[in-house]
Amino acid sequence: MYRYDEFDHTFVRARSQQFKRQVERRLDGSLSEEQFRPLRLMNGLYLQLHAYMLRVAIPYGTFSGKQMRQLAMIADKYDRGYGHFTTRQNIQYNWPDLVDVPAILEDLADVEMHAIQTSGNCIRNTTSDPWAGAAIDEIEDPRPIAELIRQWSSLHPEFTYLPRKFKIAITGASNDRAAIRAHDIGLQIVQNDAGENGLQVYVGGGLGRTPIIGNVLREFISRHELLPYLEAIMRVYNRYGRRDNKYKARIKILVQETGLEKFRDEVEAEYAQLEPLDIAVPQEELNRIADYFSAPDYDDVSSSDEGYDKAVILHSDFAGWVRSNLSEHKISGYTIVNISLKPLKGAPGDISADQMRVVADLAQEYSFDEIRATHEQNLVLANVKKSDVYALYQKLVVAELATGNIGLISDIICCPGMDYCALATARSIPVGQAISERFSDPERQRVIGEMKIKISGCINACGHHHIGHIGILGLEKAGVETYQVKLGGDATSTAEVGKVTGKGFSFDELIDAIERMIDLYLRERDTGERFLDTYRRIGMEPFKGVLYGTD
Amino acid sequence: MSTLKHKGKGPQALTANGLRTGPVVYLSADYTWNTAFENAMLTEDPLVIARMSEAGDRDEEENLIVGPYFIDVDAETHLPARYRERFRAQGPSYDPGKPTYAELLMKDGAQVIGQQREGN
Amino acid sequence: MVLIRNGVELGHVSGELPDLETYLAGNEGDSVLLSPDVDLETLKPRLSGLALIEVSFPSFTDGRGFSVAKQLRRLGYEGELIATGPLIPDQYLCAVQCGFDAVKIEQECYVRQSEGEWNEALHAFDLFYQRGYVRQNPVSRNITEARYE
Ligand code: SF4
Repeated sequence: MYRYDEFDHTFVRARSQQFKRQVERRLDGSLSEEQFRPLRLMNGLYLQLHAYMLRVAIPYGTFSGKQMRQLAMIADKYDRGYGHFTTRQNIQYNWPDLVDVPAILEDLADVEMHAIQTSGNCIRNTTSDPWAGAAIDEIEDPRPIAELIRQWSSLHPEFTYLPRKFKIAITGASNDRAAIRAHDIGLQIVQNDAGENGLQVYVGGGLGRTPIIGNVLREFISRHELLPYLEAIMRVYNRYGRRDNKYKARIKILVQETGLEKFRDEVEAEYAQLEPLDIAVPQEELNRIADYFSAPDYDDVSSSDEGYDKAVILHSDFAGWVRSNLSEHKISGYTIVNISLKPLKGAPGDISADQMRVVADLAQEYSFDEIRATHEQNLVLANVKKSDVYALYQKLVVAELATGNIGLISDIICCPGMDYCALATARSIPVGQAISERFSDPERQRVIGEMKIKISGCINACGHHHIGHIGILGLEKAGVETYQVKLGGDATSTAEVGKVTGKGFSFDELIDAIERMIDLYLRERDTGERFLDTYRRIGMEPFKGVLYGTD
Repeated sequence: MSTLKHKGKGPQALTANGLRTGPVVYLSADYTWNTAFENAMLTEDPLVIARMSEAGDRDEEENLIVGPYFIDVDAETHLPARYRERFRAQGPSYDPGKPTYAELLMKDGAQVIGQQREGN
Repeated sequence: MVLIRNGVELGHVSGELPDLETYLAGNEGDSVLLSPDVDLETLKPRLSGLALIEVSFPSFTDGRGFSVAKQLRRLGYEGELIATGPLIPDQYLCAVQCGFDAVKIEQECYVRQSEGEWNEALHAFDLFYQRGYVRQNPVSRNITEARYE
């Protein structure tokens, strides 16, 4: 993974010093709250429903055991002994004191981390495929480009006071695990006819109040031209994105109101006036960054491993976990281990400091000291030898991290909702917990198969409910929580926004309603069909029937 | 003139967040800010509300608290009337295995921000 | 209004520049006040006659002016370029890097802050990742370029 050189170090230290002074100036009144607010947000610090919340960047979701240990230390020393992994591959702490944040930033800088641009109307953490470098369907590891974008977007002098937040996602695989079409800019590594790898650029995707699936802005751009091309997009957006209405300020609205063709013309016109060579980084810099991501020293191991095969046969709990939590690795004899942060009764994405340390140890021992955070709020050890998996599993069991539900109905994406978030209209975590509890039987979960339930506590859609196979949106009606249900959303390369079933449900009705839909699916499905497939085939009406009794 | 608008019904309480540490606080009868809702001053008296409002503005100006505003309190239950405010007063509703906000408060005792002042 | 240049407060300035329409209507004048939604194409033919341009910032969170400055410099404008509006010290560096020479702020925005803060803000960073935004005074360095010096 990427390592800071002296310049990166100096830069991050300077940023942390700058924020320290900003906090001092806020405390002595030189900065008003109105002035301080955007400044603290640009450094990941919110004032939430109960207290401050600090969001720490995990660039493109890749971090080391050492970094994880420091995150655990911070959770213990400055917070309440836990952290929360978000849908944007970051981690957040729910209870820090403002006066402690400068010290936290120094502790982060010690391990090459920061909170730069994890919030605010600027370019956010670039997200990526959590299986990068290990997936079998990968054309190229997307992380060198993600790192290039991280550096380029850090404290950008021109694009730090944008109309609204700006999110970029990149994938290098044919199966999109980074939901790139739900981002302001989505980048897909592709190969052109000449056999060169470059990027296909999507623009104007996003969730929130107006969910839109991004469209192709450019079929192919070489990696050398990427930064100049991004600069052109950002400049058009910065100048013409709407600033009169917060809910219409994202680039998706600009693209929609301008029209894709005309927007493209504007970007191309701006791009034509740039001197790409003055903006792009030289080849040697691309190489320098790419070198950090070269493949680890895989052992030459045979694909079949007796110990592993035996453990699968002997231990049914292990076999169950293997079936859901392991993914195919590009190197035979290796596997991708997905660690679920969705235990029964837990809060999706939450992890205790002790558990963080366990994962750090496991990464060091079994996975080249590297961890990934996923946008589905789980963790990944991407390079584990099959022969080590059973030993690793047993340690996960002890740490209560061995929930075998990846991709299943209880692997729920869920925003913090009314339990923490100042903007929420309803709770979301307890809804997730209630669903998990209803479907807690592992065998039943397996029978149901792949299922993406996503829950947001308000219309801002941080829980990605628009793109859940079942999406749930919590609203408040006269002091009572009601939950709207969407069906058929999809975050992958066949991306689609789900459709509302109809009238919302109370908290208590909701869980039964979901169960009725699941039962319908199990009755109706053809062999091999997932919930989403059955829904696509039979349509909304039968589901409405079981939901509202109209059949 | 106060910038704090109060257009609520029934008993009012004044809430904010502490600037230095961030927790939800309520103005209590001695005009300090207290993290426990039980200690919040509840009143319907317009004169008292005006004084509370001034205290909110002043303590915000003095960088003690952030974003003061009035909330409606249910006259019978003495809990915040609005759903959202009940969460602010009680803390996260789930937290299995972790102490809730309310429990932590009980353990550590309520925190007080600011100096006592006369209420009149 | 207070003018700040090179981190130093240059005292009060009064008087308003003509807006774009007024400027284009007349044949005289070498200064203009641009709003952030300006269409630079209309100004292009007259750009060489200008010695002073102010770009207004309606609020400090409205960053359009930074792009306007960048585009003006790209069009070859070499005269004085001033960012006018309720900017805060923390944005000063952005303004300078995008091509502004100075900022002009309302007196009431200035009261909370001191000259020291503006000067400090100017020196908060001397390293940047982005190419094409280097500032002359004080000299800053581009990280990519520094890596291969
Ligand atoms: S979706 Fe709403 S409630 Fe959930 S985290 Fe986002 S803003 Fe908060």
